[in-house]
Amino acid sequence: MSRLLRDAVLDLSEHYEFARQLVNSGRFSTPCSYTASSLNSADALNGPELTRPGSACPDAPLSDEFLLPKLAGKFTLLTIDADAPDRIEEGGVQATRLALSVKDDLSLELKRRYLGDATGAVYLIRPDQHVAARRDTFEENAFRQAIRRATGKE
Amino acid sequence: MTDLILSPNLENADGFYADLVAAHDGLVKADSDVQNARLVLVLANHIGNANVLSSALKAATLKDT
Repeated sequence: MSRLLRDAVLDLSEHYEFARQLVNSGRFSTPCSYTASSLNSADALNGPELTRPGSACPDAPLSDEFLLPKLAGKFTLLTIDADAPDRIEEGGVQATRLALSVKDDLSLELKRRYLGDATGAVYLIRPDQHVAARRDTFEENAFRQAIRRATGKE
Repeated sequence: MTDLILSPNLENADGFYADLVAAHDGLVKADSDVQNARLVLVLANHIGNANVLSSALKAATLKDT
Protein backbone atom coordinates (compact mmCIF):
# COMPACT_ATOMS: atom_id res chain seq x y z
CA MET A 1 0.00 0.00 0.00
CA SER A 2 2.79 2.43 0.80
CA ARG A 3 4.13 1.85 -2.69
CA LEU A 4 0.70 2.71 -4.10
CA LEU A 5 0.66 5.96 -2.16
CA ARG A 6 4.21 6.73 -3.14
CA ASP A 7 3.32 6.33 -6.82
CA ALA A 8 0.20 8.46 -6.33
CA VAL A 9 2.24 11.23 -4.69
CA LEU A 10 4.89 11.15 -7.41
CA ASP A 11 2.22 11.28 -10.17
CA LEU A 12 0.53 14.24 -8.51
CA SER A 13 3.78 16.06 -7.80
CA GLU A 14 4.36 16.40 -11.54
CA HIS A 15 1.18 18.45 -11.81
CA TYR A 16 0.34 19.98 -8.46
CA GLU A 17 2.43 21.88 -5.98
CA PHE A 18 0.67 20.48 -2.91
CA ALA A 19 1.99 17.01 -3.68
CA ARG A 20 5.61 18.17 -3.71
CA GLN A 21 5.26 18.92 -0.02
CA LEU A 22 4.55 15.23 0.49
CA VAL A 23 7.55 14.25 -1.62
CA ASN A 24 9.93 16.22 0.58
CA SER A 25 9.11 14.40 3.78
CA GLY A 26 11.38 11.78 5.28
CA ARG A 27 9.71 8.74 3.83
CA PHE A 28 10.76 9.75 0.30
CA SER A 29 14.36 10.45 1.10
CA THR A 30 15.77 7.26 -0.34
CA PRO A 31 18.99 7.52 -2.28
CA CYS A 32 18.86 7.13 -6.04
CA SER A 33 18.18 3.57 -7.12
CA TYR A 34 19.88 2.28 -10.22
CA THR A 35 17.52 -0.61 -10.81
CA ALA A 36 17.36 -0.17 -14.57
CA SER A 37 21.13 -0.10 -15.07
CA SER A 38 22.91 -2.73 -17.15
CA LEU A 39 25.50 -2.97 -14.41
CA ASN A 40 22.99 -4.93 -12.32
CA SER A 41 22.33 -8.61 -12.43
CA ALA A 42 18.80 -10.01 -12.24
CA ASP A 43 17.40 -10.40 -8.75
CA ALA A 44 17.78 -14.04 -7.73
CA LEU A 45 16.74 -13.73 -4.10
CA ASN A 46 13.19 -13.73 -2.81
CA GLY A 47 14.16 -10.84 -0.61
CA PRO A 48 13.06 -7.34 0.40
CA GLU A 49 12.54 -4.85 -2.37
CA LEU A 50 14.61 -2.32 -0.43
CA THR A 51 17.82 -4.18 -1.30
CA ARG A 52 17.13 -5.40 -4.82
CA PRO A 53 19.96 -5.04 -7.35
CA GLY A 54 20.60 -1.38 -8.13
CA SER A 55 19.63 -0.19 -4.67
CA ALA A 56 21.88 1.68 -2.31
CA CYS A 57 22.67 -0.50 0.68
CA PRO A 58 20.71 0.50 3.75
CA ASP A 59 22.72 0.57 6.95
CA ALA A 60 22.21 -1.96 9.74
CA PRO A 61 23.59 -2.19 13.26
CA LEU A 62 26.01 -5.03 13.93
CA SER A 63 27.21 -6.17 17.34
CA ASP A 64 29.51 -3.23 17.97
CA GLU A 65 29.46 -1.19 14.78
CA PHE A 66 27.48 -0.52 11.60
CA LEU A 67 27.37 -2.24 8.23
CA LEU A 68 27.99 0.55 5.73
CA PRO A 69 31.54 1.50 6.74
CA LYS A 70 32.51 -2.12 6.09
CA LEU A 71 31.27 -1.93 2.49
CA ALA A 72 32.97 1.19 1.24
CA GLY A 73 35.49 1.37 -1.59
CA LYS A 74 35.62 -2.23 -2.75
CA PHE A 75 33.57 -5.09 -4.13
CA THR A 76 32.19 -7.18 -1.28
CA LEU A 77 30.67 -10.62 -1.23
CA LEU A 78 28.28 -10.04 1.64
CA THR A 79 27.01 -13.30 3.06
CA ILE A 80 24.26 -13.47 5.63
CA ASP A 81 23.94 -16.96 7.10
CA ALA A 82 25.32 -18.34 3.84
CA ASP A 83 28.59 -19.72 2.60
CA ALA A 84 30.99 -18.30 0.02
CA PRO A 85 34.72 -18.25 -0.63
CA ASP A 86 36.72 -15.61 1.23
CA ARG A 87 37.76 -14.04 -2.00
CA ILE A 88 36.86 -14.21 -5.67
CA GLU A 89 38.68 -12.60 -8.52
CA GLU A 90 37.23 -12.04 -11.98
CA GLY A 91 38.84 -10.05 -14.76
CA GLY A 92 41.30 -8.39 -12.40
CA VAL A 93 38.57 -7.31 -9.99
CA GLN A 94 38.57 -8.79 -6.53
CA ALA A 95 35.61 -9.22 -4.23
CA THR A 96 36.26 -10.06 -0.60
CA ARG A 97 33.82 -11.77 1.68
CA LEU A 98 32.09 -10.13 4.62
CA ALA A 99 30.44 -12.93 6.57
CA LEU A 100 27.51 -11.90 8.73
CA SER A 101 24.68 -13.59 10.53
CA VAL A 102 21.33 -12.27 11.64
CA LYS A 103 22.57 -13.14 15.13
CA ASP A 104 24.99 -10.19 14.80
CA ASP A 105 22.11 -7.75 14.92
CA LEU A 106 19.73 -7.91 17.86
CA SER A 107 17.58 -5.16 16.38
CA LEU A 108 16.78 -7.50 13.45
CA GLU A 109 17.25 -4.65 10.95
CA LEU A 110 19.84 -6.71 9.05
CA LYS A 111 17.34 -9.52 8.63
CA ARG A 112 14.48 -7.19 7.79
CA ARG A 113 16.43 -5.24 5.20
CA TYR A 114 18.58 -7.92 3.59
CA LEU A 115 16.74 -11.22 4.04
CA GLY A 116 13.03 -10.71 4.58
CA ASP A 117 11.64 -14.23 4.35
CA ALA A 118 14.85 -15.75 3.03
CA THR A 119 16.98 -17.78 5.46
CA GLY A 120 20.29 -16.82 3.91
CA ALA A 121 21.68 -14.64 1.15
CA VAL A 122 24.81 -13.77 -0.77
CA TYR A 123 25.10 -10.22 -2.08
CA LEU A 124 27.63 -8.69 -4.43
CA ILE A 125 28.07 -5.10 -3.25
CA ARG A 126 29.80 -2.50 -5.42
CA PRO A 127 32.44 -0.09 -4.09
CA ASP A 128 29.77 2.63 -4.10
CA GLN A 129 27.72 0.57 -1.64
CA HIS A 130 25.04 -0.37 -4.15
CA VAL A 131 23.75 -3.89 -4.66
CA ALA A 132 25.01 -5.38 -7.92
CA ALA A 133 23.54 -8.85 -7.49
CA ARG A 134 22.02 -11.15 -4.92
CA ARG A 135 21.13 -14.82 -4.64
CA ASP A 136 20.13 -17.20 -1.89
CA THR A 137 23.37 -19.16 -2.18
CA PHE A 138 26.81 -18.66 -3.67
CA GLU A 139 27.04 -19.83 -7.28
CA GLU A 140 30.43 -19.17 -8.72
CA ASN A 141 29.45 -18.66 -12.35
CA ALA A 142 26.61 -16.36 -11.41
CA PHE A 143 28.79 -14.16 -9.22
CA ARG A 144 31.65 -14.11 -11.71
CA GLN A 145 29.16 -12.93 -14.30
CA ALA A 146 27.79 -10.38 -11.86
CA ILE A 147 31.29 -8.95 -11.39
CA ARG A 148 31.77 -8.76 -15.14
CA ARG A 149 28.41 -6.99 -15.54
CA ALA A 150 29.15 -4.63 -12.67
CA THR A 151 32.43 -3.63 -14.27
CA GLY A 152 30.92 -3.14 -17.69
CA LYS A 153 32.56 -6.17 -19.23
CA GLU A 154 29.38 -8.00 -20.12
CA MET B 1 -12.29 23.43 15.98
CA THR B 2 -13.70 21.91 12.77
CA ASP B 3 -15.22 18.45 13.06
CA LEU B 4 -15.56 15.81 10.38
CA ILE B 5 -18.97 15.97 8.72
CA LEU B 6 -20.61 12.57 8.60
CA SER B 7 -24.17 13.79 8.00
CA PRO B 8 -25.27 14.03 4.32
CA ASN B 9 -23.29 16.86 2.77
CA LEU B 10 -22.85 16.07 -0.94
CA GLU B 11 -24.39 18.71 -3.23
CA ASN B 12 -25.28 16.06 -5.79
CA ALA B 13 -24.73 12.60 -4.33
CA ASP B 14 -26.00 10.61 -7.33
CA GLY B 15 -24.13 12.81 -9.76
CA PHE B 16 -20.89 12.45 -7.83
CA TYR B 17 -21.29 8.69 -7.51
CA ALA B 18 -21.82 8.39 -11.27
CA ASP B 19 -18.77 10.58 -11.94
CA LEU B 20 -16.65 8.50 -9.60
CA VAL B 21 -17.65 5.28 -11.35
CA ALA B 22 -17.07 6.87 -14.76
CA ALA B 23 -13.61 8.01 -13.70
CA HIS B 24 -12.65 4.35 -13.35
CA ASP B 25 -14.23 3.24 -16.60
CA GLY B 26 -11.95 0.89 -18.53
CA LEU B 27 -9.20 0.97 -15.93
CA VAL B 28 -7.51 -2.22 -14.74
CA LYS B 29 -7.35 -2.70 -10.98
CA ALA B 30 -3.80 -1.39 -10.57
CA ASP B 31 -4.66 1.84 -12.39
CA SER B 32 -7.93 2.13 -10.48
CA ASP B 33 -6.09 1.71 -7.20
CA VAL B 34 -3.58 4.47 -7.93
CA GLN B 35 -6.41 6.71 -9.18
CA ASN B 36 -8.17 6.21 -5.84
CA ALA B 37 -4.96 6.98 -3.98
CA ARG B 38 -4.49 10.19 -5.96
CA LEU B 39 -8.08 11.23 -5.26
CA VAL B 40 -7.56 10.60 -1.54
CA LEU B 41 -4.51 12.85 -1.56
CA VAL B 42 -6.14 15.61 -3.60
CA LEU B 43 -9.16 15.67 -1.29
CA ALA B 44 -7.05 15.40 1.85
CA ASN B 45 -5.06 18.43 0.79
CA HIS B 46 -8.29 20.35 0.11
CA ILE B 47 -9.56 19.54 3.59
CA GLY B 48 -6.21 20.41 5.15
CA ASN B 49 -7.37 20.42 8.77
CA ALA B 50 -5.47 17.77 10.71
CA ASN B 51 -8.31 17.08 13.12
CA VAL B 52 -10.81 16.47 10.33
CA LEU B 53 -8.34 14.28 8.45
CA SER B 54 -7.62 12.20 11.53
CA SER B 55 -11.33 11.72 12.10
CA ALA B 56 -11.80 10.83 8.45
CA LEU B 57 -9.12 8.13 8.67
CA LYS B 58 -10.81 6.65 11.72
CA ALA B 59 -14.23 6.78 10.04
CA ALA B 60 -12.82 5.01 6.98
CA THR B 61 -11.28 2.20 9.02
CA LEU B 62 -14.69 1.55 10.53
CA LYS B 63 -13.25 1.46 14.02
CA ASP B 64 -14.56 3.37 17.04
CA THR B 65 -12.31 6.17 18.26
